[in-house]
Amino acid sequence: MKIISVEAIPIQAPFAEVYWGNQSWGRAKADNTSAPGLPVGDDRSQFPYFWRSRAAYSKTIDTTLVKITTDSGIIGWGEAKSPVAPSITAAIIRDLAAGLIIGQDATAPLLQWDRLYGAMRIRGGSHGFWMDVISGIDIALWDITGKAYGLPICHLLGGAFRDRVPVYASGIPGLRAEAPLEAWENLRQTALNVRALGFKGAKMGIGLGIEGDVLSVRTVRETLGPDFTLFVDAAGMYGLGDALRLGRALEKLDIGWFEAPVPPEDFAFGATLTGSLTVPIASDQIFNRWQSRDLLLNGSIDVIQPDVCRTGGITECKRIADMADAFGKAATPHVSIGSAIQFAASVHLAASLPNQTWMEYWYAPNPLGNAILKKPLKVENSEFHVPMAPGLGIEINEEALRPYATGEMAS
Amino acid sequence: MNGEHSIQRIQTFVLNMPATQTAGEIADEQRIYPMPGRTSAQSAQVTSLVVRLETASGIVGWGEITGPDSAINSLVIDEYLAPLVVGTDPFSISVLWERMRGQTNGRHLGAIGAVDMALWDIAGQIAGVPACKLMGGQIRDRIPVIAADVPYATGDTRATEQIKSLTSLGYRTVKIRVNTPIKNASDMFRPLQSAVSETGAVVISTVGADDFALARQIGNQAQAINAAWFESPLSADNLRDASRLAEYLDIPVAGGSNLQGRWQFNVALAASAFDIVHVNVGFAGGISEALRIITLADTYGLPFVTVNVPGTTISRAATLQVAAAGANLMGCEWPLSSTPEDSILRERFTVADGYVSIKDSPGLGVRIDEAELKKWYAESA
Repeated sequence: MKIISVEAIPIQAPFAEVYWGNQSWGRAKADNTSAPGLPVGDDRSQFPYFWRSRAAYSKTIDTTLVKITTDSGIIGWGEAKSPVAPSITAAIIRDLAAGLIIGQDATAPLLQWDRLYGAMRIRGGSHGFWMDVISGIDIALWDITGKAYGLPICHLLGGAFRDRVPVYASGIPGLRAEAPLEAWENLRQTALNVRALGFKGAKMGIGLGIEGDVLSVRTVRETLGPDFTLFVDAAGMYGLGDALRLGRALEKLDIGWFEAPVPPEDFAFGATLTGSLTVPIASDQIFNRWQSRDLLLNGSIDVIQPDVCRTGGITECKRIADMADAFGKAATPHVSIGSAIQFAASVHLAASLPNQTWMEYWYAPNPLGNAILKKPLKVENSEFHVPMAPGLGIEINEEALRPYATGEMAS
Repeated sequence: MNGEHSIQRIQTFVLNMPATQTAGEIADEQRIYPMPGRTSAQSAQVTSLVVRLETASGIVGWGEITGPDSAINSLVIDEYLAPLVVGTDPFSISVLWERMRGQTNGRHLGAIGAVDMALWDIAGQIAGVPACKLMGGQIRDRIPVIAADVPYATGDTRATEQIKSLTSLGYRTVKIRVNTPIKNASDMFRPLQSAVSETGAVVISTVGADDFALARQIGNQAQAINAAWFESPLSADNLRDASRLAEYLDIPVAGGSNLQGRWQFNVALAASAFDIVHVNVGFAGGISEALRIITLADTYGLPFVTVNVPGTTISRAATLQVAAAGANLMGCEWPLSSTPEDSILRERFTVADGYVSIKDSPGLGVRIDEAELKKWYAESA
């Protein structure tokens, strides 16, 4: 079965509400009740300066969808993470990646992965846009392979350890210590709302200063009680010393894991944290399996969170998760902004992992979620039902996508 | 899955087959060190356990684990694993693998490996493709083989002739099994020099349990004739010395054939014990586990070689499927001649020009003549 075309569809869809990551770490809130701005008020958190780790966020829901067509007529869908400037990701797919795989076997995702990775391996392609591109193509090829054999992707990955994957809601933006009273009341309301939606766990965006972080987590912990599972994500905002101090405080608040305490470049030193703290250390700043190998060898990480749309697709994420298991560590997909394709690919991977723990789920209103599917994905009582149909198990309604496409599809 | 292909029946058969006689074998009594009998058991017979699975839809899958502990493996499968296997879906192999491992507390990965192979055989047959296509895709359809093996004792000229004749048949890599009491190690491989320079790749293999000093001595000699790699010089139980040796020698050191499961391999890989990972697919835990192990090896930047296991060709066929799907394959060890028990195959594998071809036959590509198979049943079966 040969690949005959590779289409990239850059997408920009409106947010119903500002993305929680942007609320936590971006520049979204002009009133500065949540977004950190330049560090003030907490001297210990002035290094590294927040702006050194502050990710760029888009005003729209940005992603790049990949549509691969084969000579058999089978079509596969993938998604390349593009939190900003999806036109760049789409151009890389169109101008470079497509030419490398057209005419090749669509049912050999591992082979095409090597072909694509090899093309840019010695030129820095192991991180960033090129890995996003590989991810999108890889997911589409697994979709095709599953459809070719009439099997859900999780069955091609060794089978489903579970047909419903426990998910936590992401996320609840934390507050800076000096946030006004009404912001704290809003935080309590947000937490109650998440629980009212049926979630049994949630992740908080912290990294806004140790004092604010601890107050935020304590507020949510007290609001939701001891039975709710809370994770925290500092988005790489701290240095090791601050991360350690914060971690000590988090130990008393019963935290599922402390994600991205330090920036990716410092994670090799994460063994200081895993060795000192009883809170498990997690990271979503996972780019490929070699970086993952070194984190595991260094003992820097307890829970590894590769992203199917960023870390080299289902292929690379499965390899990373299996390797983590050989080190006795848990793995779970990082699931941030994206479409139903991201959700389906992530949940197939999660279903197939013996060392899977809670999976992330972006719970906010999403025009690219069930709205683009002919049959909706089901998330209920904090569990994501694995769509047990061939490939990704979803059917895309292209008409529903069209309004958000910014490239040729839009015209 | 709707249960149509669920496993309905599992059977095990212990087989006894004659061991291939190899010329130039050194009798144990001539060995002084390591202690005779300390390395792998030598026997005139090869004992193997064959697993037969059958689905509700009537599809039959085969697996195998060879070894003197075949009767034990048979019991493990019949008593502990069979209840887990019956009713399972052939496309949930890793799920079953984990349950089987749990059931035996992590022991008996070889028995689990035999069941695993049979499930891959079935999965491939249901999908109508060679099993390798279900492993993320087929990477190659011709598998480079390593002629295994040519015995060699110091000064033996027969080995040189044999290497040359294998080369003329198209083999590109020949494995030399050192079978000699070590008296004076210097120049021990000199008689092979001409054959090596003509043919290229010669692999020097010693059986494990040699000590570090001896392994270093032999390794130096292997290096002196530009051997392609030096295999299993030290037992992987002795991880510290394995790592020392790998660091000491310039030529690659292969090891891992006596390791099982991703965890053992990971410890050895993290310790830089090998330059080439030598995987016994069945013993390591079957196809599913071998795939995880070779992927792990690849992430450590290492190639893999598969172990030639005596027995029927079933486990060898399973090994070929792994080789067809593993990007970092260096080669598959393959026996030099067919054995009487090859008669169980309706269609035999053949080596041509140094390669075995992966056919389009579904599953493991073995069609078993069950009447022929019966001829090898052990008496107790």
